[in-house]
Order: sequence, then structure tokens, then C-alpha cells
Amino acid sequence: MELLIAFPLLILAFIFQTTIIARLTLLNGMADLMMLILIAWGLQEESKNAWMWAILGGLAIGFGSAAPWFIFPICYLILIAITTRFRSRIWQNPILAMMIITTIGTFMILGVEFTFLRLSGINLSFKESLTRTILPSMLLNLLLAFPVFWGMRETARLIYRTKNTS
Amino acid sequence: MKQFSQRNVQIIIFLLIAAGVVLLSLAGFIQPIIGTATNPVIQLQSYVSTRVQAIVDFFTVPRDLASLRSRNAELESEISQLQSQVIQLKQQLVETDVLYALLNFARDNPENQYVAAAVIGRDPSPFMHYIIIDHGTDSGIRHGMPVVTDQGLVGRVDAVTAKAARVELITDPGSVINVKLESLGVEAQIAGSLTGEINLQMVPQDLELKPGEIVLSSGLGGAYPSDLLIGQVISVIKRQTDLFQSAVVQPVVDFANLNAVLVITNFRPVEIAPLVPTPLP
Repeated sequence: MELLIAFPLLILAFIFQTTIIARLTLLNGMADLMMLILIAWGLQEESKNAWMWAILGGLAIGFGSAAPWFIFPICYLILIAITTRFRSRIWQNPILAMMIITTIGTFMILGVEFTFLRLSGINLSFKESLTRTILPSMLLNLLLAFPVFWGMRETARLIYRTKNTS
Repeated sequence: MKQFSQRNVQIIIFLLIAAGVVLLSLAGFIQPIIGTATNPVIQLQSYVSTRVQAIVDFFTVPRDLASLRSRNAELESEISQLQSQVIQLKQQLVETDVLYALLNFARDNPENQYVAAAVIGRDPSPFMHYIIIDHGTDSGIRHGMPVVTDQGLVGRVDAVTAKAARVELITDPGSVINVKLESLGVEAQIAGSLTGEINLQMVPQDLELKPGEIVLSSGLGGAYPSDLLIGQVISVIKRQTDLFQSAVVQPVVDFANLNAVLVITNFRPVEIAPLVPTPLP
């Protein structure tokens, strides 16, 4: 059931990311809807197979982006691992965990991308990247984190309520 | 006789009164009397009529209000439909304008073959300045083909599938293009940046580069056709200690509102990688 939901949801997230979110920029920063969905799903108490969601979402984003495709599935898997840790320790406050993991995830994914681009020979200024891209992206991610968490919580309730009644 | 005379007297009196009334009427004296006599009646009638109308309204207005509300809802629905149509038509008008401009560009440059494509997405990474278009190999699009609009150069095809392609914009930090300066006739390079600015590089120090200089693609290196408009110099950075002067270029294409592009399909980029010498081990 989770995977049946995962396919359309992650494809929708990819479409939203490339059509709407990619236009809503702050300086050069951009929110990462896919990452937020994966973190929010991983934080749901009932959620299972979050690592499969991470691979699917990572491959979708990696397919659409000009950045190396493997960055996204790997980073998303690491984030899911962190999320699982957080869920088992501070599960009483999932919103706090969502904020912390969103911050970690933004720095990790954009940091890896920045490093890879620098190693590829592209002249990117660290200070400019931090102030114009990474920090604004983090702010946008934190702003989106609440509605995404709420949406995923409702989705999880819907899935598992249906599952329990059937 | 007595009775007859009494009747005659009554008739005569009646006739005299009637004649008097007629005469008073003809002389204009009767109207004020009638007016004075009827005014109270009219006032009373108005009073009663107003009250009756108020009572009728009291019973009938709620029914009218309900029908008015229903009619208002219908009209509001109609207005919202019409507004939606207006928005759609405006959008179609904008798209038509864009397509018409692209068509004009294609007509003005008949030496090239074009495939028109709509922009359907942007790169999900904030570091990458790429767009996704809705045509791919099925439409004859191949890797490396240049992409333009009626305004100027947009970029080139970076990756392609059957139905879509990803285009690297000239503003991407990884983009470097050989250019020439129109009035100076000198070749240089432009490079994209994280902020979306285009930087002109490798301009010799002895040249007098001024804002307003037009930047065109040079065709050198075989990656792009020559003479495609790229932008205009807006500020020059000239330091005595540097080998070359540089400048910031304002691109002619509005990358934030890019909706449709043309892919030049009869241009094949030259693959110069085998010609680049590799260091011996």
C-alpha cells in the first residue's frame, strides 16, 4: 500500500519541484520538496519502507537534474537513516526532529553538490554559495517543513487507517 | 297644480345650479373647489396605499430576496466563468505573441531549421541553471544543439530523451561560450555564474571596452553557430594588475520568464575532444 502511494506521490513531488518550486526562489535558493516529503514520511510512527521512498525520490530528482544523479539517492538514504535514529530517540517531538533534519539535509545535499561542482572545475565562490544559495534554501525548506509534515501525517493516517479497517 | 309647480321649481333650481356649475367651471372657479375637496381624499388614499404596500412587501420581499439571491449566485458564477475565460484568453494571447515572435525569428533566419518547444520545467537543484523542454529525439533534437529565442541565445541541449530534453542555459556556472564583441571585433569568452549573471572574460587590456558593447557568439570551437545575439556589456572591470579586463553582460533573453524556445536542428556541434592533446604518462 505504501509503495502504491509512493509512486504517484513522488512523481507529483518531482513535477511540483521542477515546475512550481523551481520558480519560487529566494535569492538563488530553492526549496527541496522531495527531501521534505521523505523526511516527513520517515518521521511518521507507522511509516515503513522509507528507504525505498528515498531511492525512488532520489532517482526521480537525479534524472531531472544536471547534477550527478547518484548524489540524490545517496543523500536521501543517509537522511532517512538519520530520520530513523531521530524517530526512535526524540519521537515525542516530531516537529522538532523535522526542523533539525531539514537543516542537516539542506546543508548536506547542497554541500555535496557544491563540493562536486568545485571538483568538476566550476568556479563557485564558497561565500556566495553559502549566502545566496544554501542559507536561502534552508529558510525556504524550514518554511515548507510544517505544511509538508502535516500533509504527510494525514497521508500516513489515511493509509494505515485504511489498512487497519481492511 | 301646486305639485306641478313645486316640481318645476325643483327642476328650475337644479338647472340653475347645473348652469351655475357649468358657468363656474367654464370661468375656472370650480377647479380650486374640487381640489380643496379632493385633497384630503387623495392624502388618505396615499396613506392607506403606502401602508397596504408595506404590508404586501412584508409578505412578498422574502420570496423576492430568495429569488434575487439565486439570481445573484447565477450571475456571480457566470462572472467567474467569464473571468476564467478572460484569463485563459490572455494566457493564449501571451503564448501566441511568443510563438509569433519565434515564427518571425525563424522567417528572418531561414538558413536554420528549427523545432519550437515549450519550457516545462527547471532543474531541481539551485546550483544548476537548466530548463526542461517538451521535445526530444522524436522531434529530431540531439545533444549539443543550440537553443535560441527571438531575442537571442538561450543555451544548448545537454541531455535528451524521446519526448523531452534538458537545456543548459548560458547563465549556468558551468557554461563557457566563445564570443565576439560587435564593434571592437575582438573575440572573448563569457561564463555563467551562480547568481545568473554573465561575465565577459579574456578581453585584452589595451582595448577600450565600454558599456553598451554588443556581445555575439563567435562560433569558435564549433559548439554554437556564429552571430547569435547574447547580450550587452553593462559594466567593465579593468584592473591594471590583471592580464585581461572583464565585464558584466546583461543577457537579452529574460531567463526568468522563458516559456518557449527554438532548437536549431540543422546545427551539429563539432566534437573537438579528440583534438585536445592529452599529457603523456
